[in-house]
Amino acid sequence: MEFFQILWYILWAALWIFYFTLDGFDLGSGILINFISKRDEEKTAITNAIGPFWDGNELWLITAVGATFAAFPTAYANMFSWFYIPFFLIIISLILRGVSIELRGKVENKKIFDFFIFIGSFIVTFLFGVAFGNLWSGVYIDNYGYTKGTLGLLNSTGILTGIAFVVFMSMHGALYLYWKMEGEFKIRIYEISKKLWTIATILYGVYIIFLPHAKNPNFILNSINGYISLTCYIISGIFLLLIKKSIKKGKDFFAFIKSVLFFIFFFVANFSSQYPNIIPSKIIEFNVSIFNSSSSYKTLKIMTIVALIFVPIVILYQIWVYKLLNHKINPDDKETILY
Amino acid sequence: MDYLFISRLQFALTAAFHFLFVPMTLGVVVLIAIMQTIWYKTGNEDYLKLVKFFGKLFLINFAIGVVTGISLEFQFGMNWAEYSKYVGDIFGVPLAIEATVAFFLESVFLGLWIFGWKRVSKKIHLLSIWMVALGSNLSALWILFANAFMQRPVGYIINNSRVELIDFKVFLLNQYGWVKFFHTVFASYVVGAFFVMGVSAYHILKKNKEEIFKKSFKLAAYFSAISSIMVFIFGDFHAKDIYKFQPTKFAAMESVWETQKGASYPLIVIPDEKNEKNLVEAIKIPYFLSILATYNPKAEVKGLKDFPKDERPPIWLTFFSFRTMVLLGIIFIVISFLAVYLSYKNKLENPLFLKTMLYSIPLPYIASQLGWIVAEVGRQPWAVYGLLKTKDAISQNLTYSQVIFTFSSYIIIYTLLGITGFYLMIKHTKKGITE
Repeated sequence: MEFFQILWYILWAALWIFYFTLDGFDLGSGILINFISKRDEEKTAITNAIGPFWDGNELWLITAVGATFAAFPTAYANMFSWFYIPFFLIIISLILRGVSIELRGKVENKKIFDFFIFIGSFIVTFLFGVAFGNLWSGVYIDNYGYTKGTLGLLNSTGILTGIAFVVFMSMHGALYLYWKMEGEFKIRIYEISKKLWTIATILYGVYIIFLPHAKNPNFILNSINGYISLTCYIISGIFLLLIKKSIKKGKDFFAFIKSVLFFIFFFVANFSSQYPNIIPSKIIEFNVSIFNSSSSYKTLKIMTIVALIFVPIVILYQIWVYKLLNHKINPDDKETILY
Repeated sequence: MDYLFISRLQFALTAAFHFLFVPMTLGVVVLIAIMQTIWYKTGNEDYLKLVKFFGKLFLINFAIGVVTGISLEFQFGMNWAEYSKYVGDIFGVPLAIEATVAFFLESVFLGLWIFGWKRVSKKIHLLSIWMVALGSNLSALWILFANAFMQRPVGYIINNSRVELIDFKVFLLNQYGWVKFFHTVFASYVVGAFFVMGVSAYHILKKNKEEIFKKSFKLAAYFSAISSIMVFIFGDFHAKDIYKFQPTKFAAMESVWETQKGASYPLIVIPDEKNEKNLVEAIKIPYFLSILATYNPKAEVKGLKDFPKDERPPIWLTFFSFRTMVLLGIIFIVISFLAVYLSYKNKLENPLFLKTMLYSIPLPYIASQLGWIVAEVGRQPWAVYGLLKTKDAISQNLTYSQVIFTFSSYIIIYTLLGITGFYLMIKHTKKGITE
């Protein structure tokens, strides 16, 4: 039983990490849409760059939530009912953003859709940062659950993590677009990527100094997951620093891949710090952990079989489709743009 | 009004709105895939034009359908936390499988299909639309199995004061789920087919590339004829399952108050919920209700009076939704066969018929919505039939103002979404085939 609970913690974290790493670049591109482009053609180029992939990326979120429901139903029920308004705002933002990306190409006046792509992407990114910042630093849970409301989540740690998410994902998105684009637009993104990298690096430093789980009473540095966490922070920091070199040399693909690795290790570090809790509490006895919120042995076993068969298949064909559509896009070349 | 009631309205609204887009996705994607296959096999450019034209309408529909699904997956936890804790051990499984097995297939390959024109070979491109069709239909299977557990729970034991999975095979072999799946999917094919027939009829009427649209009309007519018959057959099977497993729902669907053997079927009924009887019962077909319930004309049909008042669903809504749905189902069969006959005889000119087809587009949508009202309202007062009441399923920590805020926001945003979708659909329908 314990084996499956631990395995599902790893799978649960892995699904969230996939989500943040993959959707991260299209959320980031969405945040940047109005700031890095001067012309309508450039915005269209951006939605064409993320168009084939954003929905497949977002499905890692749907899968992560579904897996939380199936593997840790009590944690799922608590997390979503306690953070009722933030999750509602995330839903609405996901809806407006997704519809806007898809329908933008089918209308004459695109301005309102561009705005929704920006604001939707921004709110989703920021609020996930706030939510996970609170999880990583421990949530105020008592006998009645979490009762401090939406504003109670907007504490300094929550806001810091929210800003960090926005900046990291903006950089991630810029690097994706830097890789995808061609022509004059690429040169402009090159300049913006460098600036975003600088801001991201500073913020990473701030994040490490005010580390959320330093405030989490459950976190013990001197433990296996403490060491994993520490090591992964160092590795993610190294990858972040290495990005600059690739940008400068014009190695666009490597810059993006390093950003992907930076994301993976950054999130492994954070999720590792939270183990074995799904919702860590400031008061340790109210922790919602993998041990007190999981499904039965039988359910975890069946879910494991399903996950081990289908998740690799999904990853394989998702990579295949990424490869099939890895062409460059040029805002001035109509041939490279479809919608 | 308390937040329980608003939460129920909110779930009803968001689920019903989502299901305005789902059936069209399920049905039209299959038709598009068939058209693209014909183009691939014969090289007939007319079918390519049809694929592109209906593809555009499909994508507008899909965009709204896919995003509005998110709010449902989150709402179980947000508004129905006690439900989620109680059934998560089983109910979460098909949801997680749906995402892993079906959604990815649908969305990843749809991305490839949209952006793959000219970038991938014709074969891979054709494969991608079939994968979308497979993915969306598989997702229907899993979500309907989740729903089937709420209607007829199987494969569980009660342990740790919740339901726990004991036999996954039994869960997967839930007859209720399979019959419901086929009933719903064929109903969705009727929605898709009527949509394609209606839009084609519009352009035939306008004499706008009518030779091409006659082809799509004909294809959809055959598809509709087969599907509308299948909906009816599986509807009959489904009613028999409901009789067996949800006697209160069955009694409410037919507004039966007294338990009777060899029950007759009155064609005209006006229920009087307050006085526990029917005001009018006219034109009775002898033994027919018993046959509908079991095939056996002598069989006993349980009446509502046999059940305590607090275990009966709302009669009026369940009954009228069911009757109207059945009536519409009969109309679909008649219209579909007429459509097949006229397109077979190449007589698709009658403006009255074409206009009827155009204005029939909403009817299968209405029937699908009514079907869900029967399924979900008829299940009340239970969230999980016989195990958990809806009033015990609600989250404990919510406040009235939180729920009223989200509910009213949904109304505003969904109204805007609906208007945008409707406007774009009409705009691109009118445009027709341009090149």
